[in-house]
Amino acid sequence: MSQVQLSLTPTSDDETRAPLLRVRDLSVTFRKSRGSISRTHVTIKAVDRVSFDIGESEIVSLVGESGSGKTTVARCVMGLQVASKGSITYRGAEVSGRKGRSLRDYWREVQMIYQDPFESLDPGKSVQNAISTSIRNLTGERGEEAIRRKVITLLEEMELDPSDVLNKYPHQLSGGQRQRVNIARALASDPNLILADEPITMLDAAQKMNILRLLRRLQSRRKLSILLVTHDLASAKVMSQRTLVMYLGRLVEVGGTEVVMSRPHHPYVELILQSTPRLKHSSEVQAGGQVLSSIEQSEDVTTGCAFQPRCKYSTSVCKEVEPELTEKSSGHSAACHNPLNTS
Amino acid sequence: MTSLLKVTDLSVEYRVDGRKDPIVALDGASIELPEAGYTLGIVGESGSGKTTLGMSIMRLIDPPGRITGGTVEYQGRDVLQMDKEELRHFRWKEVAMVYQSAMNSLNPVKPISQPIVEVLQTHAKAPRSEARERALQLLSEVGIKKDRVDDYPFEFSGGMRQRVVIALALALSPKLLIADEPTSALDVVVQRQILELLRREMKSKGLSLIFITHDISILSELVQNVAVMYAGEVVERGSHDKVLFDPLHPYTQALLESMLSIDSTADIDGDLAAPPRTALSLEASGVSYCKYVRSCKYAFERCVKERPVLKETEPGRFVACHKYS
Amino acid sequence: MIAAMLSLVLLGPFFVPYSPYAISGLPNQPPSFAHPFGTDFLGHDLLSQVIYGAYPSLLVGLGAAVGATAFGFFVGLLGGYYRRLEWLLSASTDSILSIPALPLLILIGIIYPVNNTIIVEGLILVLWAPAARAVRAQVASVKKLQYVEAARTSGMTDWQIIWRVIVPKVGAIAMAYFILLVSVSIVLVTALEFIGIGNPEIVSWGSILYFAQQYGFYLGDWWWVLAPGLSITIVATGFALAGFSFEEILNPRLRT
Repeated sequence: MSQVQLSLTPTSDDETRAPLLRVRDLSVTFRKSRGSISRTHVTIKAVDRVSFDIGESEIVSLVGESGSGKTTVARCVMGLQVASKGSITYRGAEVSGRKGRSLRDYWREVQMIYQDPFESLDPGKSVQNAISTSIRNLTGERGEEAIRRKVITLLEEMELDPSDVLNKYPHQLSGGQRQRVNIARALASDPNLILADEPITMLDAAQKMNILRLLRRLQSRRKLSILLVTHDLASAKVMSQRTLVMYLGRLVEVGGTEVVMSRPHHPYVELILQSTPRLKHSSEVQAGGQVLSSIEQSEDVTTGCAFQPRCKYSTSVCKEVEPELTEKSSGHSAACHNPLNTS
Repeated sequence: MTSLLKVTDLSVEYRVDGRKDPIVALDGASIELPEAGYTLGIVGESGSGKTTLGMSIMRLIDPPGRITGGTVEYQGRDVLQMDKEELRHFRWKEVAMVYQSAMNSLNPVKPISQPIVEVLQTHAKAPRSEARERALQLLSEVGIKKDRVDDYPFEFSGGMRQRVVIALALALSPKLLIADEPTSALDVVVQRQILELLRREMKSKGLSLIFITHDISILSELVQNVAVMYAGEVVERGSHDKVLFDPLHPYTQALLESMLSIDSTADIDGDLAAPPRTALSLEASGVSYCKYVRSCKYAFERCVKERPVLKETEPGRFVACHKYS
Repeated sequence: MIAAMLSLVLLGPFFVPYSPYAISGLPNQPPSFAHPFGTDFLGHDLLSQVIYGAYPSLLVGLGAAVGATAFGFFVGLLGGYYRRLEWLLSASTDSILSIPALPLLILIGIIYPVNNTIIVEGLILVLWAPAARAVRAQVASVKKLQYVEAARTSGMTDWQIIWRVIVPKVGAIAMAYFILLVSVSIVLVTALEFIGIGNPEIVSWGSILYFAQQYGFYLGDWWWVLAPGLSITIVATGFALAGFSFEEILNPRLRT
């Protein structure tokens, strides 16, 4: 397992080769109008100075709740969302701001799997149609026979039975099958980087593991890189070598998955770990239950650390100074004034 | 002593346009809540019938769906035979339901306190001031501060709205709460808060709970007993620990093995058993074989000839499988 | 219903007992066996008139409906998909919608008398705006669907997306609008002809009514008005009902 360490001061070469994707200081700001009578405008920093790299053949998880900005980051990398500031480079070439043909060329190498397996498929298109459209439009392939063969190969790779699903429509498939069709579609042009936006969130618990397993197999066979966007730590844990955690637009923790999940620096990560449900014996269930803060994330924090209102370790500096993402232990960074597990 | 709730052999089918055969949503499902304060988790994939079961108990099955067999007894009374007046008293006062998209079905043009006040006024015949007082109390119990009580649904996050829905369900102090995937659309931290809230309410009010979900890992903190559903039937039922740590039915075993969990030691790159195939096309009821036979690794001759029935293998433990009879 | 009317239109002229332009009976006769709808003030058989009159009336109605729907559809489509064009679309539809329809049409009729084509054009001018608006709204909402975005990232060009993905979804609403529009325009045309705009020499239902009102009605020739009036009602209702059924088919939720 090759570990490409994140270096905080960007250098052009890492251990072996330059990263596939480089995101530097990505920021996306939205203006929203609030209030029904007096329409005031509020600027919301959906993404605030996010930087990370993804190397070749690497799986990286981007973890956060809804509202953390993780999907916005993925959409920026995909070119679907224009960045307000910062740069996104794929193999050295700038991504943000691309349009038309240059964007389509980019999509040949970078593809996205969407969250909702049902909504992302055209209900009027059969499986065959959906996948062959991608093949036709993204690769130069025109031969009908060649396209058909490719569709069948892809479906087999997805562990679907082509004779069973080829002519079916989305509503005739199960959630897991639909998601496999989505993945097939994304792989139609043999991309190098897949952005998976919460690919298993809308699936039944029993199907999640299998889709993740499929992604792992595809990754190792095709030497893909995957950016897994998720709110669920369990999937990040089984899938990725590195984990990035976002909170309200900012990266708050970055590091190897193993260590982030076992000895996190940032209190927010600790909170998620504690909140994650686990199967346990009745005897293990704590009698009183944990008293977790019932405050929800709020965008109204203007100074200091955004997590401070919910943080049980906060000190006075947390209210005034916004913490920067800095290395707190080898290869493991956090944006916190009072990080945990630093010894 | 009569059980709090007893569902026996319940069957529900849906007639869909353009299909000759009806879709069988429930095919002889049975569960029982013996006493007050009993907590039951119902686990199954989508299509297993778990939501239909919950809705049937409240008699919320509308055409094109209809109940084709079985009984639902609440404290000895037959719910399916209740007339309009009895039903009105039954729903919301005895049994209340919180379902997944409930947070989105709050009336957007009414402040969140309104539906609660209205419910108290119509069903509890409370005068307006009293109703409002009680509504505020309920909302504060679920964590909604007084100064936000007259805000509109869109001003709240999903998690907060779900709390309002829970307050609404508890408004008339029901004895049994049916929660159908109340936390599926919520983030992990918010989900934890909602589960904590439910636990607190149940403890303080002595509520019984039926918690319906496809995610086994959330059940541990909340329920003492678990029922597993497959293809419209309950295939296993018993205490939480027994069913989830020592499963008898092959489907339960397969389900547990294929689960994603943060504690998973399962080797993701290895070749573990594929998850059980869901019975996608729900077959007609009254089949004479075990519906799980195609995916079952223990299947033998009897499984194709005879349909297994839920049997009590030890006190409080039920399995519908030929391996155990 | 529409089928009956259509067959009447197409086959009618062959079965007409008398030519509507020929004087075939005594004037101002109430309905009788020889003249089931009676005769007008000059002795023309009204039944024949109604049958013949169907053709121009329907033609104008359909023509206007087709034109308005087509134009509106196209404008709505572009305005809905390309956000940059949207302001142009809204501006023009709003300005058209704010002008009261009937007075405008009357004005046009006065400026260009005796010309049925202009009437059709006038109707199109007035009627395209609501179509455009409805289509635009529909396109905008379809565009937001995730599979449209997925179509983009799978390499489809804008044009491909418009024709293969959006039009099928929006085409349906355009059809429904069209059908309803036919009945509206037939009524409008008749109304205009009733007050004298258009070519009175061509026999159409509106012109029948025009003459009826001028020359017969107040004298008590009730049958003169009954015939065309009934036909208009039947056709307009037929199309309206067809439009509703169509909408019902499209939107399964409306089915009870």
